[in-house]
Amino acid sequence: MDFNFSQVVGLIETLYSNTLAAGQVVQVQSQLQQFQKHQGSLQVADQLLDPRNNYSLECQFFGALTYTVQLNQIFSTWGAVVDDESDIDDDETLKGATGTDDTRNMVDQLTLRQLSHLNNLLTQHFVHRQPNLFVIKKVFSNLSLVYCHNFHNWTNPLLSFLGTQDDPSISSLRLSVANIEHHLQASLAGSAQKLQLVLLFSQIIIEDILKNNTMSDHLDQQLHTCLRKEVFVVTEFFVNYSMNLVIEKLNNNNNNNNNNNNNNNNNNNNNTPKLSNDNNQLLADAVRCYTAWTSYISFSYLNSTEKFIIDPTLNLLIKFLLCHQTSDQLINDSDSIFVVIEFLTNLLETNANLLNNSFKQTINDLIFKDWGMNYLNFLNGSGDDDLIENEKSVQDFAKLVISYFELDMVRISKLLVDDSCSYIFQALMKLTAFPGTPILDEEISRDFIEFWLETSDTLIDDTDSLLILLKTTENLQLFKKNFKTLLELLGKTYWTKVQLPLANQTSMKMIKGQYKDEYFSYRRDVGDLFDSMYVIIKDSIFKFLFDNIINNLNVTSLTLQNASEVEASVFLINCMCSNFSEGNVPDEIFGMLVHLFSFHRNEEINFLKIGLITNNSYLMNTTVSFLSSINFFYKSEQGLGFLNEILDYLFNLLSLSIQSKELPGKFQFIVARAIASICSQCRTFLASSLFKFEPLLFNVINSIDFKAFTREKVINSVSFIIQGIKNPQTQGEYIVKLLQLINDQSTKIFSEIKSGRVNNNHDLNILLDYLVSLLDCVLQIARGMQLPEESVIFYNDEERQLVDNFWIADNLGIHSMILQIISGFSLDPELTNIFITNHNNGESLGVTDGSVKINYHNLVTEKCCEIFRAGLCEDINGPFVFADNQIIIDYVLSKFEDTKNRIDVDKPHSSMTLSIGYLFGLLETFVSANYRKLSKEAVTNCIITIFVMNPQLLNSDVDLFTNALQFLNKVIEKKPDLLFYISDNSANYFATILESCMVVLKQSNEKFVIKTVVKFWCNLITLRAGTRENQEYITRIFIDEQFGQKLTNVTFSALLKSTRSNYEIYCDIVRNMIGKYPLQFKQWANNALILINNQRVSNGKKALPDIRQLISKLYLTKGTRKVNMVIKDFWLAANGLMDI
Amino acid sequence: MSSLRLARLQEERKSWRKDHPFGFFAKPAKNPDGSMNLQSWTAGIPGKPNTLWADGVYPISITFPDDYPSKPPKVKFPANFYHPNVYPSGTICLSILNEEQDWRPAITLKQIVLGIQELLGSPNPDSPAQEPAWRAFGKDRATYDKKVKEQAQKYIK
Repeated sequence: MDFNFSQVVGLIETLYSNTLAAGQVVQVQSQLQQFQKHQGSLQVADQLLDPRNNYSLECQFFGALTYTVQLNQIFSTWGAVVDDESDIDDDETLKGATGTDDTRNMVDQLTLRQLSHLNNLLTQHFVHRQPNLFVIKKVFSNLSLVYCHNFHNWTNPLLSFLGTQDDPSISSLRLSVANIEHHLQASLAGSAQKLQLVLLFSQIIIEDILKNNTMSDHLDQQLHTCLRKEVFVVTEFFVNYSMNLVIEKLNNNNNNNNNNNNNNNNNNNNNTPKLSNDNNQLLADAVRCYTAWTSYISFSYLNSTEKFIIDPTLNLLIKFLLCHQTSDQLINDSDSIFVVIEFLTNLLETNANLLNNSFKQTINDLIFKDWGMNYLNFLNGSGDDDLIENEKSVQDFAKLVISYFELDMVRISKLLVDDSCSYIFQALMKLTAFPGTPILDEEISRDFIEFWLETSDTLIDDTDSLLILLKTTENLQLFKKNFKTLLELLGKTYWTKVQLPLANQTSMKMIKGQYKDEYFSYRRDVGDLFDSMYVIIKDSIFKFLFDNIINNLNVTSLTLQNASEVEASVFLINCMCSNFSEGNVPDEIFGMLVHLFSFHRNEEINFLKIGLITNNSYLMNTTVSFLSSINFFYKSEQGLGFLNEILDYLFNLLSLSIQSKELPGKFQFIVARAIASICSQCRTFLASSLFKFEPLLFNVINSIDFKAFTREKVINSVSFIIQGIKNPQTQGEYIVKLLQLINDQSTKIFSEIKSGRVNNNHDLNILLDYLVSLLDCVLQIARGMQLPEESVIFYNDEERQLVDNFWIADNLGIHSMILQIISGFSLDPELTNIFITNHNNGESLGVTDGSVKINYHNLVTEKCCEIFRAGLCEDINGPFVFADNQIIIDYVLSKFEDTKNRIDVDKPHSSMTLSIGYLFGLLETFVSANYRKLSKEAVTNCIITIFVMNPQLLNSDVDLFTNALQFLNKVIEKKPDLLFYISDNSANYFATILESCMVVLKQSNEKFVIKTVVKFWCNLITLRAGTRENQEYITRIFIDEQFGQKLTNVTFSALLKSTRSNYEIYCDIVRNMIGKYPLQFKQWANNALILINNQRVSNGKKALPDIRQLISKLYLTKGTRKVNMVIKDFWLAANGLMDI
Repeated sequence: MSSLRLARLQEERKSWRKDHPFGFFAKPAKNPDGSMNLQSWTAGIPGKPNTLWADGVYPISITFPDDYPSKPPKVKFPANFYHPNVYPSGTICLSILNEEQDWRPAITLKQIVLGIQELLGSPNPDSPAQEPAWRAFGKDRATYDKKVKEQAQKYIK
């Protein structure tokens, strides 16, 4: 494509006009990109870049960009010559790697042209005040690109940049640092701006090199050397020169001020550039440039042998800071001081390996001797207001201090035993206690959390280093004492910090709003700090916090400040309490807790009342969390007396939570969780006070306003307590009350729904949710009533017998009540219709909004199955243990019949199939728990109903088949005898199942399905729990009826086709076949693999690897896990893959 | 504890302190003497905002094997945690935690917890680890959503 000049300019102007639609932008960009790759594009670029042509800055920038494109094109083949000149010596290789003579000449010319453009652009910038710095930067970047590739020929771009301004010829490209100082001085005459540009150019070069570090190692080493010997030397000179200029000016100013001399500054050196009043800018440029260099130097230490000396420059930076002593000086140069401190902080944090001990000591002196303390005093000014005003500077100084200490945390221990260093810790503490609410007003205290945590962890965990450093045990003791004192002070500081500003509505609004995550993350971090500090300061921190709570309770009327302080104390106690468990709690803690709960126990203001009186949700929330973290206390002799009172309090809060609009919705979950935690831990202590909970239970079950989670947690909690009653009659009476409440309420709701008066989807869903929650309450009772793991010690023999007999007799009719509820929910056809209709479309109930409906039928079936399951594994009889096995089988088969009729087998993956999965799951657990007592007839009846009578249903959904197979697997695993010889047609149905399993093994890709069907075959092969007759029966099927051959064919076929993550599952069949049928399997495998191989070859696929060798290797493994490795190699080879 | 593992875990602890995402927590367990057991951590993963998981902070345990970081840590939710990619034991099925898949020694604790947070809201149906949640996720999304929300209440922030 041909381009003319005006067309290109037009396209550029259009591109940057911001008037194009997105599609047009792409089109114009594409045209311009084509132009940039065009041979003649550089001539146009030269025209565009020449400011005398008066093109827009965008056009100028595009000119520079065109150079970038062309240079990249040249350099993309720059090193290719090497490959063609492999027989030349090292020097020649180097030449080859850096282009041919022609390309080098061309690159030199392009370099000079850009340097020339730079001259013009600088004139435009400085003389005509055009804002073209972005164009200048782009040209610098182009030159940096040239240097990266051409540094063998062009060693010092900085000098060339200066040199071409006097002599724009090729000779400017050959300037080197040898005897250069004179040239530098001359070049600098009169221009601070030139200084800044050299610094900028240097910065761009070194940043580009770090960014594009993609060159080969061979070149890298030489580039590192060239950078150090040439570019760094010039850079260092200019950085130091700039620093000296700034310092000199500062000193002159200081002297002038000191002498009260109003004369103008006189520089002795006529060549010294005249500095503008803006010292800050030159210093900032120098520091920014040097920051980039220190990053590079740190990188080069790891990647080269070059060593850079940076101390002189660093010392100049320190010298600069030390020049600032008076308030005026600190105020005038606050920006520059900030820049230098930030540089030092970065250096310590990321490139500390560049610093020698001497400089570290210099920083130490800077921070902790006169200058640092003077600076801190200056920032502090006359008090908190000044400190707040200087927050940014304080924060930066704090970061410097932290990063300095983090070089070697153990060092702090040494300072702690040195009285003369106490001021250091005073300073640290002052910084930590920076005034204001954290996150909202200040972030310094947050920065210090990490520092103190690190300190505390190091000094706890690194005791070996401590002893070495401190040398004597006396010192160690002194250290421990001082460290403890320091942490106690720190604890008080952060206790203040975590107090919620309850009295300040604006702050609280921010905390609840945009700062929520950050603020509470801060509090959690402080909690971690206390957790860590506790190891050292032990009880004293608890005492401080408990005393504070008591003091705040010892008032005649409560304020928000009281609430705030108590909340902070409870929050921090809670953070530390979470580490206690029975047996490791110090006695002192028990004493403090007793004091806390008994203080003003019967008076208007006490610990449990303060949240309610102040009506503060934060305090209530924190208190509830605290109450649920001290179970060790309730179980103790001292704490037992408070248990009822505390539960009363929690139940009150629970009632309050659904009445109060001010408490957050989640509050009732937190309270319910606390109640559940306490009840489950202290069940045996609560039995005598169970009657007190009856009103609440009534309320929780009958009120639809409680969230389902809360209702279920409370019922579960109370059930735990009921379980703790050893008298089964009393247990039974409570259970009857609960079940009666649930039954009555659910019957009432059923009637309401059946009446058809609910025609609103939202209301209907609320009622259905409530119903499911009521059913879940039965499940929670069942779970609560499960015997604890230590049931053997829970009941003695006599008690066990008594309980067992009681539930066998079941005079209270509890089993019947449970079955009645299950039947009402799950087997009532009218209700089932409602559950399903609501799920399908809701139209019969007048619901037409088309929203996704919850499948309540599945939920109800799941809960019913879980209720049955809860009693299956109990050691002795109980309310949910059904002695008659037929009850569960009947339920499963009835529900199965009902559900399968509602599944359209032509529509696979119906969600209704989940219900059937739950039923099969129940059967699986049932078999697992009761296989010894089951009859063959009962089991076979289930199997025939599921597998033989409903093949279409099972085949319609592989998940259903898998669930059914899991049940069958359990029968084979536990008692295969239940499966065989039960009727005359047993062989037929069994053959049907085997055929189905063969098909599933062959066709399935899903891991769950493959695992289940493989497990089925493995169980069948091994038949571990089978009788001799069972074994003979299966052997006959495998050998005489040739299922062994069929299974081997299908296994190898599926294995070879399976994915990398699945093939290993099939190995189990191979292993078991080798073990069980060693003689036959060799032939079966041979036949199968030959068959598969022939099919592959006839389909044009690659032949299988050596079959005979595979079989030999398999047999060498003797059916051990090594089979997997052999199969893996075979699978990889057969599929043409490599092991990686 | 091997020096490599110790150094790396100390570094992880330090990095976490310096920079951890809001709402997450992670800390080593404590030995009886109060010192840290860096091999065993507890952590909390907040559900992502505007997802079903948003209301909860879900606890995990992280156990670092002897040959960490060559091998990945074992990360577990509580047993029976409801999620398609969490095994009934609570073990999380995530490629970056699998030595044979995407685990690399350079993966940090922060990346792990963020990866788990991402997994909560975006289950991988191709790596099922438990049947109930996986089946519901695939076949009955409304029930899946309901159960996830109920679980969030259990682990409410």
